[in-house]
Amino acid sequence: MADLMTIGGNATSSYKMALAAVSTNISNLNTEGYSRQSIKMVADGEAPAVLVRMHDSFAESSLRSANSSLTSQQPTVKYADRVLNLIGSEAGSLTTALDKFFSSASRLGTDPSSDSLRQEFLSSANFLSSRVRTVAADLQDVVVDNNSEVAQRATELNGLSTQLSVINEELTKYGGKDQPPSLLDKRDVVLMKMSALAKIDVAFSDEGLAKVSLHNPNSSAVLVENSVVKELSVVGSNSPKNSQSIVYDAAGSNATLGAISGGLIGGLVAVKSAVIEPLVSNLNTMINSFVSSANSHHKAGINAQGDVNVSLFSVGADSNYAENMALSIASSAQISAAGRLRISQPENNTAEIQATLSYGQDASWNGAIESEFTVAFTGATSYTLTQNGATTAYDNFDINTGITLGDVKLMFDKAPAASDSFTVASNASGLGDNSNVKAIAALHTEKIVGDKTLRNFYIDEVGKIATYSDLSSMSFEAKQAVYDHAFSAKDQKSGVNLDEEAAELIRLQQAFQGAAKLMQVSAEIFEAMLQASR
Amino acid sequence: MRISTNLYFSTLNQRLSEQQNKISTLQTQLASGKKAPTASMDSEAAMASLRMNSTLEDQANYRSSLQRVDGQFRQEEGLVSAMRKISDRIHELSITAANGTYSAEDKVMIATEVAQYKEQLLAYSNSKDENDNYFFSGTKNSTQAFLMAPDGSVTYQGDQTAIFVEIGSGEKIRVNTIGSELLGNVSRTADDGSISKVSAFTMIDDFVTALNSNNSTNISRAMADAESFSNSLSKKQVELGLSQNSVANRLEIIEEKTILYKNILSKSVDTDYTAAITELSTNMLALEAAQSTFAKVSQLSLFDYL
Repeated sequence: MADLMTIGGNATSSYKMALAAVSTNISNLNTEGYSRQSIKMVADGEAPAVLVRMHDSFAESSLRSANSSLTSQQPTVKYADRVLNLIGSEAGSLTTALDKFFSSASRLGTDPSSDSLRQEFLSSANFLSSRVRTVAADLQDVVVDNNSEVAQRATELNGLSTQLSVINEELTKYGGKDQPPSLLDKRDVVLMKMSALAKIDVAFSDEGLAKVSLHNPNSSAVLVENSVVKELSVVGSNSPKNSQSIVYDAAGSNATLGAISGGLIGGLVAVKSAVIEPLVSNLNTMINSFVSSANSHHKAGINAQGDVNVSLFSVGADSNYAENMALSIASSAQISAAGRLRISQPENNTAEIQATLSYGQDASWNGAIESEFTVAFTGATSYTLTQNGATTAYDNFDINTGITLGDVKLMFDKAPAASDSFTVASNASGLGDNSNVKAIAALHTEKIVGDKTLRNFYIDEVGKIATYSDLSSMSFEAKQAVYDHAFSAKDQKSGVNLDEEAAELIRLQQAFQGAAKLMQVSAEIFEAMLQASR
Repeated sequence: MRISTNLYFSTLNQRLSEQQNKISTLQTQLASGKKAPTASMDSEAAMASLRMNSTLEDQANYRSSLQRVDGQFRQEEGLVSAMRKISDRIHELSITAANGTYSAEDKVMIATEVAQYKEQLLAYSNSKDENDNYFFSGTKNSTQAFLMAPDGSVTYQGDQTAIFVEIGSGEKIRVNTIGSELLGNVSRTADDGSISKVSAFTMIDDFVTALNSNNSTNISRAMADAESFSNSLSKKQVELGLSQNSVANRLEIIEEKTILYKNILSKSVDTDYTAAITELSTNMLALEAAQSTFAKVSQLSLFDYL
């Protein structure tokens, strides 16, 4: 059994160490990633105490994983909200511009020759195309910001990989024994920061070296092993516009990573592919459908200058239709509000018989105006058709199918009688005709994008983003709760509590005084023994 | 369970900032009067706002179309009434002239008056609207409807295209009156009972000729002609009146719908002030409580007692 002096000596040096640990704990209260230090006393006081780093590697690992999940939601919420505010707010929504366009088209239908209404139609068509371009350009800005943030985060991750490789190298010097706690803290801080950028798998060697690889589906992509670092980089492409992919180890295996799970990078990539890219592509589909429908109607009509086959909008040659959308006509006289043909009948026809024309019977119509032709009835079902001086007789008239010639169809509201005749000719001066602009206005309620009307298609797109944004916010809150729990689990073991340290300080001070007293008593006993034996 | 000093403070901090966020959101909603000044604040309200605003725009559009069409009907009705007065006067004069007591000279006097009505009728039928377009030329409305040749013959230059306007979802109404239908449809019954059609201008010309030549057969024919003309004009007046009625009915429906939709929109989009203010005071109370506990509790430290 050790003598009193040795016990007292060991105890004072142990309590000194413990007091040093308390003061280290207090002074590192605000140090990032600091793990509380504690002293483990040895039984019987036979040897000095051991310094322990209060640390739970399971708590650390689950916090890393919670951190990846949480940070992946940050860009999701941020970008979904940004896109939603861009396309879904009252001022920014395309529905306002679409409604304005169709309203002005239908108002023009009430008086197609009114110059003020024609101007209104022209300016609302111009407004619509500029709004579409603006929204498309704003969306591209979002894509570009997302791309550059991914690139920046990848650079950060590479920097952290390098830091970790240095720490790994440092750790090899200790051979797994007596590693300085601050070095281990630093290693864990770097790993935590890496997990904020991407979900990582970490394996520790006996020496405490961390091997880091990306989590599924890229688990073979090892970022750091010992002191070797493999970097991530980004490669951009322009089909589709502003697309970007992440490349692993460009200098070596040069593999394109399909997706990255978790972390800021994972979140950025996920929100881009789940929200932004589909929206850009759907907006292009919508604008292309709208423009081709509006143009096919507009081309079928005749404008105030007597021209047919005039387009209303253009969408450019590449597939970025929304960004390219522009108005093709420059003046209100170029609006084709009228149908390209007119029908006229002599005054002695059957009273109040109405004949109506429709186009689009012939898909290969080339935009030329049909030569004037005349239909003259010779009986209830027989008529002659005269065009370019040639007359052909028919005897199969049916009021339900009317008469079709080339691209043109002629229908009657009641049965024509013998000697009724109708002449179809170019509608060159028919400014007052609204049949064509009415067809354009009717696109408002027609299902021209897939099986949806333009407005519903757009609102559904906004709805998808809104749902995504709501779910992301909810999921963010849930993951915040998981993170908080994981953090307090780690903190319970590793965090510094000042009150506790203060209490320790008092306790250890008293213990130290006790141990010192022990030594004093031992010295006094020794002295007494010497005195006694003298 | 151990709790570290840092976690303790950061938890308190987090609670405080949560409270402040709630209050800031409520303040924005109260100040702007909208539940979702930006779409992401309340995506449900934002979607409702998009849908309802579009529907309201449709209604506003129908209303403005209807008002325009109504104006067109009123002007046309005014012109048709003026024509009706001429035709009634011609009918009256034809009855007078058919009376045997009038001398040939008297009839020539009447002829002078009747001839003036042709000019008036021509002027009415070539009336233009506020956009300088002819009312009765069909869709060729920049072309004068009726043109009188030097020999006095009048021809219709417009076309027969009817214009329809949608005044509600699916409901269409015809808005233009074709000159040739209005003035070219005077039924004339010949001696053999066959019915032919002449224009109102031909009718007047024939009457003037009959008066000047004191041809009593043709004067009585003019009597029948003028009656038929008056009848066809009055039929048109009734038609225009009916059209105005259906426009007025439609406008009423639209007003009702607009009020209904605005109500729905307001409920889903506008801030509910009572609820928002109550919530604001509750949150402010909670924030104050959190702030004062924070201030007091954070002063407690064991070190103060050392």
